[in-house]
Amino acid sequence: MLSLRAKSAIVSICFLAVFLGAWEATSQPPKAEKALTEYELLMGGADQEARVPPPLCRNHALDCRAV
Amino acid sequence: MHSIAELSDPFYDKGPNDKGIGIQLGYSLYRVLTGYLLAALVAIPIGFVIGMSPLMYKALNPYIQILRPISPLAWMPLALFIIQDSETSAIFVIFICSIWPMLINTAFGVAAVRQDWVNVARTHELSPIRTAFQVILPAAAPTILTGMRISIGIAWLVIVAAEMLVGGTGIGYYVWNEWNNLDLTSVIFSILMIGLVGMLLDLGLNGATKLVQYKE
Repeated sequence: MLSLRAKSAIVSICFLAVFLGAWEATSQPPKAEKALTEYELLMGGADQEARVPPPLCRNHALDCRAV
Repeated sequence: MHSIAELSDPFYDKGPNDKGIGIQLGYSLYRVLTGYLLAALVAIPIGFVIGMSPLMYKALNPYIQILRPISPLAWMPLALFIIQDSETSAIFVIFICSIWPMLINTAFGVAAVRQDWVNVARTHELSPIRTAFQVILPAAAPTILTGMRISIGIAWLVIVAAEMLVGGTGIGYYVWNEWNNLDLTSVIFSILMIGLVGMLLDLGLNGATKLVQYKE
């Protein structure tokens, strides 16, 4: 049987996971309809709208910029 | 003399940058009360859950302790970026600063309800909902209202600073605008009006607190 502390840690981590998952899901840029040139990729690619960067910035140069 | 001139026609409107102090206070009160009531709708139920459940208390406490010390004005840039509306951002800032005292006080008040009373409710086979509304809520009401009283003071304090940042309308913007006009008389008068309205808001909630006070 888990202690109260362990159960609360699990619940707490679940809340964090749900929040981060929702943030990641809602801050994804749109997918490009065709292959983009290197210049277009550096200029934001298919994402021409300012948005909050996702928590997992896989490509720092592109994903982590808000604008 | 200046105060008499300001108060003789407090609701004049001569354009976007020249409105009476009554109108400015009205805008500020609207923002404060909207953000405050939204915060109460969120904080009191969550505080109830936290107070009733040691598990939820321990699970949510780290987030509360991290988010609570963040200055409400630090949320302003993020709010402006996401919401993209200065009015709604100001209301959000009021929401985020008002929520914590109400939430913590509600949790404390609910957790501090005497177990004897809850046991009596259980003996009478009251449902959990009826126990919550007929036993726990009235018992915790003074503490909840104390939290609400603290929150309204903080909310009124924050709205002045928030309006200085976003501009447009409101008593905070009025103070800043009068400072830019180098009209210190208006600035001092506005400060006094801010204090007066804050006192009236506090008096209102103090009266409400007295209505729910009880002696054991």
